[in-house]
Amino acid sequence: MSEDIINKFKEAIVVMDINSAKKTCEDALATGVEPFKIIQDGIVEAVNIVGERFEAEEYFLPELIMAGEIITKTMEMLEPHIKSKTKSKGKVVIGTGKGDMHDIGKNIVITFMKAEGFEVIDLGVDVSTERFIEAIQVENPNILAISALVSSTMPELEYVMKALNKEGLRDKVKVIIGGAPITQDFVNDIGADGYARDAIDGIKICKEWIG
Amino acid sequence: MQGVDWIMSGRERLIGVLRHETPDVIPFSMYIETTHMAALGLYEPWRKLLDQGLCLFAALAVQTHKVTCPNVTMDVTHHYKNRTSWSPVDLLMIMDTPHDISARITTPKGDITFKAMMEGLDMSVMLPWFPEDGFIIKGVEDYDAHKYLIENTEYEPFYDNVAEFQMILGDYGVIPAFVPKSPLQSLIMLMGPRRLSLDYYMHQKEFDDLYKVIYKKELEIYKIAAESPAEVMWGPDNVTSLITSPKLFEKYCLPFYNEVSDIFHKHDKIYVVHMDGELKSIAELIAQTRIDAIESFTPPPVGNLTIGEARKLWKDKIIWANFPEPVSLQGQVAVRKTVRSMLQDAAPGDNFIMEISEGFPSELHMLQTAPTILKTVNKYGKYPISKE
Repeated sequence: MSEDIINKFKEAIVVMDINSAKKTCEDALATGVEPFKIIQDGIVEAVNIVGERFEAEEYFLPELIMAGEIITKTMEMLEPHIKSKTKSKGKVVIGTGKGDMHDIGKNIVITFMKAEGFEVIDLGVDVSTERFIEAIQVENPNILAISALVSSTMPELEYVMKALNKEGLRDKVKVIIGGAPITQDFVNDIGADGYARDAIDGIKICKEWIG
Repeated sequence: MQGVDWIMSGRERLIGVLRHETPDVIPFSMYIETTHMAALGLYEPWRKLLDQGLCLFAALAVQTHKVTCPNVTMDVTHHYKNRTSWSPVDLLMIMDTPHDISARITTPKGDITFKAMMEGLDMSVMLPWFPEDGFIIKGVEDYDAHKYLIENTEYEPFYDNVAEFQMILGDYGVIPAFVPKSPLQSLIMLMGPRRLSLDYYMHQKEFDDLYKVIYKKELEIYKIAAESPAEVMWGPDNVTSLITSPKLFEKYCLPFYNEVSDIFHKHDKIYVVHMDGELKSIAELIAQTRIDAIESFTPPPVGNLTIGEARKLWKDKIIWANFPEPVSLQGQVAVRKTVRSMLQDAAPGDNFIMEISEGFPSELHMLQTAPTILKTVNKYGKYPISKE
């Protein structure tokens, strides 16, 4: 019975049906299914399927955004029913580089990472090198994730890497960089650890590092 | 034109290729903003490049229509921060600098408000780019006011600027008619990719109704542009399959592109659309359009479709390829190598134009890179290019 409801819930997320997702989430809670089971077997599974379809170019940004919205709304429904906190998979500090105001990719990464069990500290957009450094000193994250959609932000990312070295923080945090103008060569040149082709690729890499 | 013994101007090369002719050398163009035109005569290095064949493409310079919107008012407040006192001289200088604006558009069907960050005072260009409190359309509740605004806007032809700007640029460049983004791309600008995705899935009927209103109204503007003296029609669509997925492209973009292509072709105009993103997943659908040129086509490492792949799929289309700007960070040797590789991919070079259409990491990178690209194109881009 609970398997049926969870499958319906998962399917509703995968086909972008928010009303059905909310309804089946409600039904699952009403029939006594544990919230963690709904998250693990419903949301996390759905995230994997959506990610696979994105990689197969069956789904695109609109589907990632819509799935993210359904996940956020259903997580809000589940949260009041969660009695004990689960252990976080790892902590991620994330932001867009200085000069970049585009946050859609970053926000998708945050939604999906949270669904995967990461704790995410979102520094927002147009984040200065100093702000990244301060956040790493205060939050002590496992991963620093930076996105850049405009090429004028790319030199700023190099400053962040230099500042990490200068402050003695480089070995304490893995750095992953993504965004339209970013290339593997650029990531190698500035000495970051990972290059995210897109949001789903970025999450995959972070899971490999910490998972 | 093959075998000519005179040097063609940048404009002749560009228009020649857009008319499916083969020039002496592959054209190389760069965007030029109207405000920069005056500086051209003063800045000698640019003049040298222009004399060597660089063609300026004044993409954003000329709209061929004027707009009036009766029964609608717009109040705009400009917010300049961090100034406690201004002298009259300060005022003049500060007004054209980056700042915030807040605006209220009042229609009989409701008000629309937005806050945005502006680079200067040219609202037509900068308005939708840096919204501070979300986009102009914040939700489905804003649709009625927008539909009223769109349906009650009146357009009239205004062609004076085409001849005027073309006279200024002369043989150094081309002035297209700058038409609005196609309806789906306009919706992306008005509501942002996030709202567009959510409304497409959650409010499809209302979304489609708004789309149809924009589609119908834009045809009026496109018809005015078609009757203008401009030879080239340029749509600033910024298409990328990440947002304009195959499903969206097929449903919303393809019918519009083909309807306006036919309007333009009836008037012997060249229809150019700016598509600077990832195009691989929609490449076959683009092939089905009757667009003449895909401008700002960006090959890897920024885009995901090679020039060779695009040429195979888009046999009758002109590929107007943007030099991928991050390569400039790797130095001029890498720039030369990339240009040669792009030219090789485009061999023998028919229906191919090279350009810089996107922002560089810095002005300095662009100033160093543009001469390298031109020099390399002039050396290795002689038609026909043979495969190495």
